Amino acid sequence: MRNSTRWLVYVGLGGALWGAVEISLGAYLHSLHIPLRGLILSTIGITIALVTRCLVQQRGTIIATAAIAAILKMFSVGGVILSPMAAILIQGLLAELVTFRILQPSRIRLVLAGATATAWTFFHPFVGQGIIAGQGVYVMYLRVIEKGVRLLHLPPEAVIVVIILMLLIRAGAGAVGGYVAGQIVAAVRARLGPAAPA
Amino acid sequence: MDTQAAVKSSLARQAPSQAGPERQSCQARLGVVGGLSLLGATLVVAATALPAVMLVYGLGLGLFTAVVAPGAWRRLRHWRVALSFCLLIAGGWLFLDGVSAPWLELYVIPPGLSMGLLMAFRALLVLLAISIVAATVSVAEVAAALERCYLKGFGFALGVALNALPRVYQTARQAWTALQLRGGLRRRKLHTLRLMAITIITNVLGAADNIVAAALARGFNIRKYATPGIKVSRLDKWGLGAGIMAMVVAAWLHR
Repeated sequence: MRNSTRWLVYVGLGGALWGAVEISLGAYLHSLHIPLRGLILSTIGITIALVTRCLVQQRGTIIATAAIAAILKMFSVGGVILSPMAAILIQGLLAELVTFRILQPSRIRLVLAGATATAWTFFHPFVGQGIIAGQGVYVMYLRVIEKGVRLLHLPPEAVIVVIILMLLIRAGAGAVGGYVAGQIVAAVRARLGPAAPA
Repeated sequence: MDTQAAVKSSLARQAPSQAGPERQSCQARLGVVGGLSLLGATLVVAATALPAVMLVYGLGLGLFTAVVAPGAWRRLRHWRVALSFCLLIAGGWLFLDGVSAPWLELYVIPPGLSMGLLMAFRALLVLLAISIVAATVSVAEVAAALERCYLKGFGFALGVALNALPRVYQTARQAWTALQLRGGLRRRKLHTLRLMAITIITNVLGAADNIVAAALARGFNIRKYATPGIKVSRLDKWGLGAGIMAMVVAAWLHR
């Protein structure tokens, strides 16, 4: 995109879409205590960022869109919001890294970018809690898992299978988001016609 | 509460002209430099310092917050924060019975409980530092700081996003109403949701040309765009100095 003012406007609008989802849908999901709400928000957000990236075909779009959405997250009603802001930025960075080398990402690349970004939702709580409460939290989690396994008479391998399954569910949701992003891009281009960017 | 009303009230809270007296006094004294310095120093101290150093630093930070940004303490008065502290202490007591925190083991506190208390204190320190940043740093200051970090035009993009938020909500509401008039999500739910997403994205991004034209008509040029400056108050310098000193002491007396 030659005109960088145009790029900034698209980044702003993409960030507004992601931010609006985080503020409005995020508030509803949190108030209703829906499970995997972080994954739902991340999947929708990263889909929007990938759509914006495909439309403007410029490197740095996803991370810039994520930065705007993270700042808009400051308007959310609630307590400490640094953790979700950091998660949005890291997810944007991961998706950006996957799509950085090419201007027009393929469908497979979009799926991979979505999966990589949403897989972070699995690791984020552990990293965040480790930063806040220190290494003692990890020891505590390990002991809780050990006691739980002993209590339920499960083999230790079952824990690993559960962890891999949880990771796959998260990555799978992002992959679906990436696939849907590809479909949405084609439809948006068809609807916008000559006004479509790039 | 209606979502748009919530956003409007949040925007009003963030706007400097309509900010409350507490926020204004915080902004007048501590800015982005001081706030981020204290946050960085707190993270370093919490990650590396001995419990004794952490305790001294915590006392200092607590007093500093009480004087400079009392609103930061009020932000921590939430049942979720209290519950997480209780869980950390109880979890340490129940599951870390063999692990003891250095320095605290000298006293009568059982090892697991001492570890739980240490984790809760660390969490309190980090959350307090985050709360200071949230209470003192405004969106405009964050945007200005990012513009200084080689992200030229970020403030403009943020302005576009803030102005586009009501349009996004309006478009989403219209699309949802149209969808309900046509039968809602009774059949082919995923297909219908996809069509709704396409409609919202198309309508929002379709406004890009008008925004670009309006910006160019007002003489906006990204190449000639002046990066906004960051105000550094005396308290910011004190915060920066205290942060650097705390980091040096933490690195010197590390675990």
